[in-house]
Amino acid sequence: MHSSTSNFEDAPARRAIWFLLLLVVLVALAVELAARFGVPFVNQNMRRFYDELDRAAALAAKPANQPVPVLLLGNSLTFFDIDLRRFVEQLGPECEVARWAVDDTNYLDWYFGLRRLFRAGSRPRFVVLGATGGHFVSPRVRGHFFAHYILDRRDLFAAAARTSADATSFSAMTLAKASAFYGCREEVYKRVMTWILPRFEGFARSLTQRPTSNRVAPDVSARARAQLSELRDLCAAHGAQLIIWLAPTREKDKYGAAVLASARECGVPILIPAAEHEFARESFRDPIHLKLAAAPVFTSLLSAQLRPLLLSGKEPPAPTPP
Amino acid sequence: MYFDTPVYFVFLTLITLAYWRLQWRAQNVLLVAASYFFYGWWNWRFLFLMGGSTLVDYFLAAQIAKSSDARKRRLFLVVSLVMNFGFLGAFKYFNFFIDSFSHVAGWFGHAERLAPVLRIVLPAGISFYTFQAVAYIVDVYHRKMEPARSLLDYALFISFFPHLVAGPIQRPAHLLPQTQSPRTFDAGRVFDGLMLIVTGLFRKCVVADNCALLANGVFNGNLGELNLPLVLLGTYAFAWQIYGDFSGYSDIARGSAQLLGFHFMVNFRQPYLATSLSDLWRRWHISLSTWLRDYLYIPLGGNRHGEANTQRNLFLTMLLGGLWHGANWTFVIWGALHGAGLAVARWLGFQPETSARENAATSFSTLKRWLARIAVFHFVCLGWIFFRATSVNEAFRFLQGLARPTWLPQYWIALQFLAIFTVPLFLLDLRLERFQEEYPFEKLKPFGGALSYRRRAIFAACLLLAVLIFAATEPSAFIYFQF
Repeated sequence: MHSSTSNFEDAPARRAIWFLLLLVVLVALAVELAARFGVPFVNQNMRRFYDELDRAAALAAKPANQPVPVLLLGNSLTFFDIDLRRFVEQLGPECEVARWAVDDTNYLDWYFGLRRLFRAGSRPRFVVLGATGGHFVSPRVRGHFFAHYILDRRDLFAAAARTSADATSFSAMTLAKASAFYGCREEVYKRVMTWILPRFEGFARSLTQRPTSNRVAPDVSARARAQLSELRDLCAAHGAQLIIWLAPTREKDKYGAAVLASARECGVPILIPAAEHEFARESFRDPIHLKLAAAPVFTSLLSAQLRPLLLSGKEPPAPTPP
Repeated sequence: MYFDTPVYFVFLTLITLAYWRLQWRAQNVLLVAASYFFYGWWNWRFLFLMGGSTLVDYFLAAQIAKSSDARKRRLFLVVSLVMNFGFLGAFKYFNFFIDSFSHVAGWFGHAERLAPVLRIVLPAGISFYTFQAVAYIVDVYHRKMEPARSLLDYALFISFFPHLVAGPIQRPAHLLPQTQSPRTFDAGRVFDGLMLIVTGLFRKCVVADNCALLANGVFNGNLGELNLPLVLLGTYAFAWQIYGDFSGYSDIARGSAQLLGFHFMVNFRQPYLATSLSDLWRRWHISLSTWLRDYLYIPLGGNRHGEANTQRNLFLTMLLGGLWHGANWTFVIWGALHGAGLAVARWLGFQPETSARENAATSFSTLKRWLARIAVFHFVCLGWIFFRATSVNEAFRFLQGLARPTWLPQYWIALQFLAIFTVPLFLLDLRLERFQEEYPFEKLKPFGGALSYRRRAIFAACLLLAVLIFAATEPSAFIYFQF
């Protein structure tokens, strides 16, 4: 580095600048390596994420006499409300189930996640997606985690457009795609804070919870229709059929009716395994998630409705080029 | 482009690397282009506003300096002031006045006719660059300085990206000469600049953004019904949020400028260690408080026309300072509180010492000093309640919580959370105060200069690691961007 006017008497400071820059690079490298190799090793959620992603990607198209490949996709509701072992048992050996449940995800996370899975060669015959109505119409994605762990690099611009990212958000998304640390920083922060303050996670959740409103956005039906059609077409283009289910909630699911109507209009099979108030308020650990004890009951209800659809013998839609 | 985003550091690195390879005039061209790019990254449409007012002010100042006709000179000054304050008023206060008139008209049943018809987007940084432009034109008018020698230098003075959107408000006499002469690459200053950037990131991303989580949680009612402990927790959290936020921003701005060979004035000097309100305003947002002193308080008469007028001037200055922060009655009340506090303190003759150095030289005991600091801090916190609240009603609702002294066990974790993120900054401030340091740990030289630099680099690396790990996952925008 030279300058038009330069002071060459400050050699210690010059060395210090290089030393500081070297330290910055080392710190950045250290956290990146730790995120890539350390976090999956120490974080159970991340380990599960990778395991489930591998299994989902490995789902292959099967001939008619083989078990039907089923991808169980969703967010924490898929994880908490469905007792996976019981679910697999109840569907029986005719189905090969792989779950990919990522906490705090919504429609766009699943849409781009599915694109990535299909590109990776995953060929489920059924994509079973469950959440509340709000998750199906939400415009949000799971921040930097989405960019790094869910999004395919080729979808970066499409995802930026869909999330209405401005130039700053787009640059952050690009960095998150490249950097594992940036992608999982939220997990690291939570883990370190929980280590310092054991009840931090619940505390942070209570700080950031948004006030609920009974107002339903006016364009919600149009959005639900457009998004469900898009997802249905994506699945169909890869030889899969989309089936969605609506999760029970402690309070009335204000977007449930719109999603139900839209799914019917779009010809997407929709299941409502539990009628409103079928689960008492005490069955919920929070406004949307069932307690551990209630999950098996819900699982049975879901699998009872789902099994006939999966085994109906109907041929899946013929794959069309995406 | 926000200072706490990765893209800013890519931008800053590229600009710095290119900058030191150019000759002086080309450096200025690069910086103006970079500054306009920086500003346009947010909203390119407002580039025309800034560019237009720069052009007009440059030519008006030149005319003022050239002319010897007092009437003409005054006319040019008035045109410039009307233009600058006109833009500020139109973009910042239009809705405020329409809303207020509508509210008053509503008492007489005429609200609908006056209902606001425009919702104007506030151009980022307009309050800051307007004040810089006004200071320049007024200084030229008073012949305190020569006008800028070239439009390029003046455009750089106004738009230089480190101070553009949230200050520190640079004085023409300080910054303009720097744009008009070659800058020297001084490795020591560049190193100090890097230190400032790292500490600024720590203040903003770790302290401010985490305190924001708690403050927002309390103010939004997420922790339950307001009571004494919650009001205190929320207010303390906001006090440290706004301090970390703005001082962090100022540090990054100063550090960025130093990488490019410029020097900016210090904007914060450990304000929560102030022992009186007047001391506070010598430590908090110094670039604004000195601007208000020189271009508002003194022209109003300052302390030259008796005690009553001095107190009136103090009060008016702070009131307008409050309104500068935002078009809301909450800011007016905040300014009025500080104005009244300053006036009353002066009336009572309560003017304790102003700095650690002076404190040390007097008999002001440690205990008294700390009691004064605590009292001033709590007065400041009272003001912050109005500053943070979205309406006057919300502020009073918040204050009513003070009457309910209920302690719940879950507040303990909130207190711990607050302590984790504020105590480190408090300790850093104590050190800066004790050693009167302008840059963090600059006087750490137990084993000679070279080792001191290295130790400071290690300290910076530790802070950076803390930023990477503890930066809040829901970053909040810089508070002063909205002003």
